[in-house]
Amino acid sequence: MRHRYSEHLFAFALLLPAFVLIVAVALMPASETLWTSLHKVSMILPGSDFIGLGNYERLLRDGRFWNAWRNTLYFTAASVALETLIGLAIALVLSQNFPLRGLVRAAVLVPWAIPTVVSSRLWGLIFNTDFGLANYLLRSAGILESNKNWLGEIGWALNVTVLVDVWKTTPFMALLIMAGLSTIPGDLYEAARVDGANMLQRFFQITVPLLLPVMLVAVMLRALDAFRVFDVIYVMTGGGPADSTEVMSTLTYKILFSATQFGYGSTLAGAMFITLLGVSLVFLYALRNRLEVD
Amino acid sequence: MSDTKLSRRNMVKVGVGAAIGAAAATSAGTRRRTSAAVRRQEEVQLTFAGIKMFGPDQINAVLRDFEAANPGIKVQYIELPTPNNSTEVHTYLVNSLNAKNGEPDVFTQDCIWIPEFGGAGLSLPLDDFITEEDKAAYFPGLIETCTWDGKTVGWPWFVDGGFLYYRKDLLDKYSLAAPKSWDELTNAAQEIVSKEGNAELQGFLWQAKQAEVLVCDWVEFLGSAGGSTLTGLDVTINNDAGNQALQFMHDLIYDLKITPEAVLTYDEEPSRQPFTGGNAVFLRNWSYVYNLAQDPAESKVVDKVAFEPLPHFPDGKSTSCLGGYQFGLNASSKHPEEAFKLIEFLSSPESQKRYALEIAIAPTRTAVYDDPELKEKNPFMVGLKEVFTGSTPRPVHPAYPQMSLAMQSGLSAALANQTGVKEALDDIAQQLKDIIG
Repeated sequence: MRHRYSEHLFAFALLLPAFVLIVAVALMPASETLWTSLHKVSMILPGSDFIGLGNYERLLRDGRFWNAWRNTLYFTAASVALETLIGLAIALVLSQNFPLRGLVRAAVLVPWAIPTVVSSRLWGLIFNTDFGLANYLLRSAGILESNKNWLGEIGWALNVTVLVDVWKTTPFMALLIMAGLSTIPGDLYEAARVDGANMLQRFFQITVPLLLPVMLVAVMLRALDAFRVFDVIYVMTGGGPADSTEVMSTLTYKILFSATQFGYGSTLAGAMFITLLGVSLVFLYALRNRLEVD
Repeated sequence: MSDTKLSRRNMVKVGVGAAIGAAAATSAGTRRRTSAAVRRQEEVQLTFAGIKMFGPDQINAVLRDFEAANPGIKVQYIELPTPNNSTEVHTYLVNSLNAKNGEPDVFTQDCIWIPEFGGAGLSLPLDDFITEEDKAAYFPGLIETCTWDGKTVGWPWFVDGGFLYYRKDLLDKYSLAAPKSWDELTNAAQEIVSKEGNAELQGFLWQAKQAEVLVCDWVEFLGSAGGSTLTGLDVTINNDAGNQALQFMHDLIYDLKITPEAVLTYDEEPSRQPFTGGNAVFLRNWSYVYNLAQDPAESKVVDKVAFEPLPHFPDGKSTSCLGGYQFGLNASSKHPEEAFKLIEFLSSPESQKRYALEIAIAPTRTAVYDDPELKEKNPFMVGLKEVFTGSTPRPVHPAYPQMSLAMQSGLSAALANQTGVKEALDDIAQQLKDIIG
């Protein structure tokens, strides 16, 4: 009994540093932000008034917020879906044996290694209306008749930023899925082959079910990341044209640091936090049983 | 396995060594500073947070001159990003001024933030230090920009403004005069583009990206129609002049077709590049373009470019959106008198002439433009005096940044055809009224 008590104590002592760290860098700033979001406080007004949920009421009526919220969800859903599909395809190819496999695996990671601001600038030039490579290629191939105003047209601009995000983060997805593939025992495939299962059957009966937990974790990580997208949008469009690429992070940044409305800006940050919490809970619920089996 | 361990141990050693070295260096630094302070008890240490300007550094040189002229005052220079990163500069100032620890004592601020910091009590009113005579030496638009609620809460550094660049060679070729009205500009652009037979050639470039520069262009189009966003504290953005201005911006793109749809993605540099590449007749931009246009490494139109104040409608007058950075004094400064001395020195005629000659930023003191040496070495800048005399500030209000976001969004919506012109202006007007409260 006594032995167990000191063992518990020891376990707590080991956990304490991690706990302190989480409180200091995650819980405290988050609760401070939520607390600020209950106040009317901005740089141009003296003092700070507690207004309860007033800012949240305003949020629900704020067309700019809902526009950014919808754009963010669209961006997240579209980019993560594409990244998962393309990442899976790349991972399947790269887990085969072929000459120079190591080199190709390294090359695939290049987009992931380039700082986002740099790649966003590059893609901005590629999609430039007048002298961009995209228009040049599409016109040369006869697909476009005249130059398209990719980043200046409502409807296209957000999709171009999705494309840039897909280009950049698909390697990350491929890497995670490749790790998942390497944990599937080879003898399962051998047994299936002996039993006469064809390639598609092997893929859907063995690979997919065994890969699913890893994929879910990967999708969750990417979704949480894509939801907070800032740099691609900030560099390529600044939220325009006509707010059609405004996402939660860029809007929050503008309200907090350009308009210096610290209270309402914190409310936007709070809304983002709450949405992300919801998304995480859904994923954790989906993963619950699978993780327990492990 | 043993290899890994060994290298890891080595890494720890290196790390610890570096940490000890750094700690030793820091403590040595502290000692040095302390002994220097003891030696000269009277010494005042100021900090100056200033934006980095393009071209060779002049700020450090001016600061050293100030120290030489004022024994007992030392200035530490905190270099902020260049003016095209104004959002980051703003973020820095918001954070450091709100910390209220007196640092930086003196700072540079975009003219649109002056009422914001002044209204929030973060910058010190300078009225005790200055006289009406001091103010009279500067362009009136600048003094207006530095004033909020009857108090002088900023002091002028340099001015910039939008004006019209044009291809003198092309206008001469078709015997056209520089346009004074928007009709003349439209006709000239259409004639030259159709006769030149160059598919790449654009008529008139400006900036319509959803960003601060869109509001600058807007102030100019609106002023050229005789309108104004605010009249006193009344919102007048959606009157007839407003509708005429925004409809014209829209027509330039979709009806007159002398402006490509790509301006919806242009801020300053993307609009400058086709012009200096020889592919545009007219360009609205700031003063920095002139030197680039004369630089053979950047430009295919060296010696082919001239400038004029922007055109206007019959009912309005040529308008240049006032820009530039001005000085501010931190309200929490522990040495306000010495800090003002520094501002005075940085804004003196001698310093302004030096900036104009060395880094080509335009003086805010009118008399500097009449300086014979400046006339000889930089006639371009002297020519700007006419442009800047008519420069118009963006709405002067502490909540300007919030207003700007609303205008950027609404103007962009109209220009990208999401809403109609009238609808967009009425919507902006409502938002501005809500912001003013």
